[in-house]
Amino acid sequence: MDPREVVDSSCKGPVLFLAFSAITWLLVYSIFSMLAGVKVHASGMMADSAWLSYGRIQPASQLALQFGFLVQLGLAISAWIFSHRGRTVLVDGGYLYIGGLIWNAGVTLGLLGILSGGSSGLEGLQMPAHILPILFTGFVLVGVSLVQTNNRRTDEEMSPAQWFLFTATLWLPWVLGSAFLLIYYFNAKGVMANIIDWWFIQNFTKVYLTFVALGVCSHFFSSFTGRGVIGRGYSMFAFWVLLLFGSIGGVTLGAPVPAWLPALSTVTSVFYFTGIVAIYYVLHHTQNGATAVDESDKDNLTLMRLALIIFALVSVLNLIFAFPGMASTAEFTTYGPAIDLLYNLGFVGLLLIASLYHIFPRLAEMGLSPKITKVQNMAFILGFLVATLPSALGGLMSGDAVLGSGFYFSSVGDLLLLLASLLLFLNFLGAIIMVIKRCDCLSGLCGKQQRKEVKA
Amino acid sequence: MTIGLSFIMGAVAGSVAYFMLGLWWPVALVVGIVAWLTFGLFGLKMDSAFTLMSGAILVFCISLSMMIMRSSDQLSSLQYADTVDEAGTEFRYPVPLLGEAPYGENVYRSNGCSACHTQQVSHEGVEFDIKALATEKNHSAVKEAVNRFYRVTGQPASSGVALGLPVGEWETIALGASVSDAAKARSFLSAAGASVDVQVRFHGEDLEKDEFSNPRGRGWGKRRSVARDYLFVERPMLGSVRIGPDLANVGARLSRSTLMRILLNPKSVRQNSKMPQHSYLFELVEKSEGKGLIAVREGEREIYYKPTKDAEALVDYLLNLKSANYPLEEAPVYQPFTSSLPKPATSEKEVEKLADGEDIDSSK
Amino acid sequence: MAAKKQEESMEQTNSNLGGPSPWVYVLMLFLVYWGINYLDGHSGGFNAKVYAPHKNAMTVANLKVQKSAEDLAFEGGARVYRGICAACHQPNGKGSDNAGYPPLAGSEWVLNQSPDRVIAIINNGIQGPVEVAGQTYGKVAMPAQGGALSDEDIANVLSYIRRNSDWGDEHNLSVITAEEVNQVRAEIADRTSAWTAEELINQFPDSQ
Repeated sequence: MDPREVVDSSCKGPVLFLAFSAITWLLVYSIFSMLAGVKVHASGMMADSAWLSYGRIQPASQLALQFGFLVQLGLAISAWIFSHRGRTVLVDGGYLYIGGLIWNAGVTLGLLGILSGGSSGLEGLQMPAHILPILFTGFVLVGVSLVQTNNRRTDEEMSPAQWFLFTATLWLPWVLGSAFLLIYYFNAKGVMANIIDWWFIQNFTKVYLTFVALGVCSHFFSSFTGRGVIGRGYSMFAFWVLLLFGSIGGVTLGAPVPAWLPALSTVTSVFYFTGIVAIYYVLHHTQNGATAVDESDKDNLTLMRLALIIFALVSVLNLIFAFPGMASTAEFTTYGPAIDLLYNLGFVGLLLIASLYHIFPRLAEMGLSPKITKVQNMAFILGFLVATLPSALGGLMSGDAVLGSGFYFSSVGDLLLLLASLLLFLNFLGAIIMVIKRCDCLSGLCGKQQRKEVKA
Repeated sequence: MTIGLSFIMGAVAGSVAYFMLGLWWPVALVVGIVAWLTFGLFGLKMDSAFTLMSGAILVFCISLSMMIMRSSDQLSSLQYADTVDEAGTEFRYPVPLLGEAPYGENVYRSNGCSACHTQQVSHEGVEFDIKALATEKNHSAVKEAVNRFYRVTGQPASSGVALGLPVGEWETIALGASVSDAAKARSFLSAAGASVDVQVRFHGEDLEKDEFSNPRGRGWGKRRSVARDYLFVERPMLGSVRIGPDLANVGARLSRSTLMRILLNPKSVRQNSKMPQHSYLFELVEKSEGKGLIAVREGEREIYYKPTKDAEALVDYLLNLKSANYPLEEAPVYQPFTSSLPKPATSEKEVEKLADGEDIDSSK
Repeated sequence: MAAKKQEESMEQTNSNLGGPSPWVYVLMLFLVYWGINYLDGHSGGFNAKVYAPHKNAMTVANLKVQKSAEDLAFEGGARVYRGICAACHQPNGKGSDNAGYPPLAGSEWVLNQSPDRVIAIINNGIQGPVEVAGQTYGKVAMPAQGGALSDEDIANVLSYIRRNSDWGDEHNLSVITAEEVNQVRAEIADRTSAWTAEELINQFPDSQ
């Protein structure tokens, strides 16, 4: 048997489970996001229900997007990349099931907690306090499998993809656990809770999600094009710079904290940008001018290239708006959330979905419907562009007329995203149902004795 | 790692040790050199998971200590401060929430009001107006100081001074001076023995509107929010987007009935409001008895809504939000001139007030 | 650029862990210099009390209105007056003829160059008929206030009533210090009952 197939079959169940859960959460996110947008236009709709008030749906949708979709899909793809890069089977794949179940339970409970009024009031950590240990446990269990898989790699040498993904796997539990302990156990007083919250958001977006995306990007660019990663030295430079300076900062200019915190955030943003330039340079040259070795990967490569462009765009914008002069125009407007969403969906999300398109046929031994895939991609890309760019622009120009129309655009974008995630969900659902029918996976899980009897 | 890259790591480690951890500079230097040598000579390879993990732990500790520990040291010793309210009464600030307001804070939190509203006021800059008073004894010295101030800072001379600094009267020396100019004026004038009075004006879009220095002010607060304002709040809901106005000072701006109406139907109070209705916070009642009902006119009829306990508590909490209102050492409020020496002839209005027995504050 | 050449040579040996071009280090050092300067200018010296956009603690301190000692005494006196004296003598210092509270505005007792008599009145109270601004008062005795007031409080409130220009142009006398009050109070320390007008004039004759 082709060794790749051995690796794939070991990954199949756990990775598909995590991936499918992630896609479900993307659908949930888009539904909630749609609802939230509607509430801004038609303020009288559903006004009688506390559960559907904007202030509850909006944080719930963010939870579903970040923790339900991005983290889980990132874990799934990381598992696959670790085993493929390391040329080893996925070690202790069962942990992915258990960890994934616990993680999903945590996100669900968190969602219900927020909708029923238990949100914490801190952006980025809106879920009720008791959810955080559940999420921590789920992630650590999955992480155990990932770390073990990476340790069993056949090559001593680690590629940049593995550096990024490995560090990301370590980073999120540390940051999540520290934030939980500092805020809830050690009772951070007053604005300290906000500082810790901003620190967490900065680490989650600029370190964790970025590292996952960069690792995935680096792996697939080199494997699609058949080249090795060009410039390991630059990658290493970028890795350490991004890690050190991405983990400090995130305090907005006007925050009610001493002046050194925003100033420090600006300085680290500038240094962070140098790391971005370095890694962009590496990734760009890895895939520059090359076509996909495998025909079926052409579309995926295009998607990933688009994601890289969005990454560059958002990084440049973040640098420009790190300075007080520019930041004061964008502060507290819809620019911030819009650009964050663009980064989450347009870079990380698009990258992970494109890699899922690559992985799925290999795991499931059957392809997804190409037509639906095409439509879904168009809808997704159009959706996040329309949902974010007008809002960002409107936020910068901030005037009531512009702000109002920005919301209309973002609702159109939300509609497209809803369509896209629905298609994605259905596409995968259909494929997975067929996969489950075709193979004896379920019966294999619960009926080992039957199989033995058949063999005999 | 190459020597060059490891040098960078050493420099970073040394800078962190000195600036952030506050170590004595030779110790920081040693830390830097040790880091440089470790990373460079021992050739820590990127291929070992153990290396990655230990490097990541180091960076994690740096990040925690730089951002979290240091700010925690600074902010954990914050205490309440004494300040004055509008009437001039001294009181301890901030005032903890009493009555229904803590429950109202929970209502605010659980309904996610911070998704659209912030509770932090910021400001952009500061300007000073300077006035000086010279007595007969020091008149020439003060005049010399004033001229020196104009020469050094290049400020245009105020018209009153051009005619000659009057004796025993407050005279404006500079309007809209910057911080450094104001400091110079104060030091020159005090050295000459004059009495100096300073009016502080803030400009920033969040602050009170002032025709002269802050024409675009939105009136959301008198000064910027500082950490002390949130001393007794467990997890301040600072918010990050302003789809609606800032609420840090809303207790000083809006009344109970306005707040209730906004919650019930925002468009009835502000036409272009984007705030969704929160009618689940109210109950429809048949008759108009009972206190605190909100009456809404629909065509011919009047419909009465009774606020639920949540709504009452929430409004209670909002009315208590006056955190950008009172001066603090780190964030003074716009202060008018407070000279106590004889003022020019009182206007008619003030004479009337005197006759009525009202107290006139010496400041205007 | 040098970086491009470096990249081409790296393409041949992919797994060579060559570092980035030396220009990167130059750039980083330049950025470190910039960063330190930026922090110098914007971080307020890492002081906990400096908030953006102030540059350092000095600028924040400069925002404080520098009040002269006279201003501080006046304001302190205004607070004492509002809290204790205004109840009877009214915020406008005019007193009340009906109730028998003499005015302080325009009162020759207050406008006396020497504050001794007023200090004694505040300390022990006054009873019996007393003439103020052409009218006789005495229906109601003034209770002693000295127990609750420190020397500084009495000095401040005296400065206030002597210098409150709202009460008339004559109210332009000197500020009183706590030491003066202390001296007078030491002189009359044995006195426990309220004064009468004659006793005050005997105790503190017009000497200036």
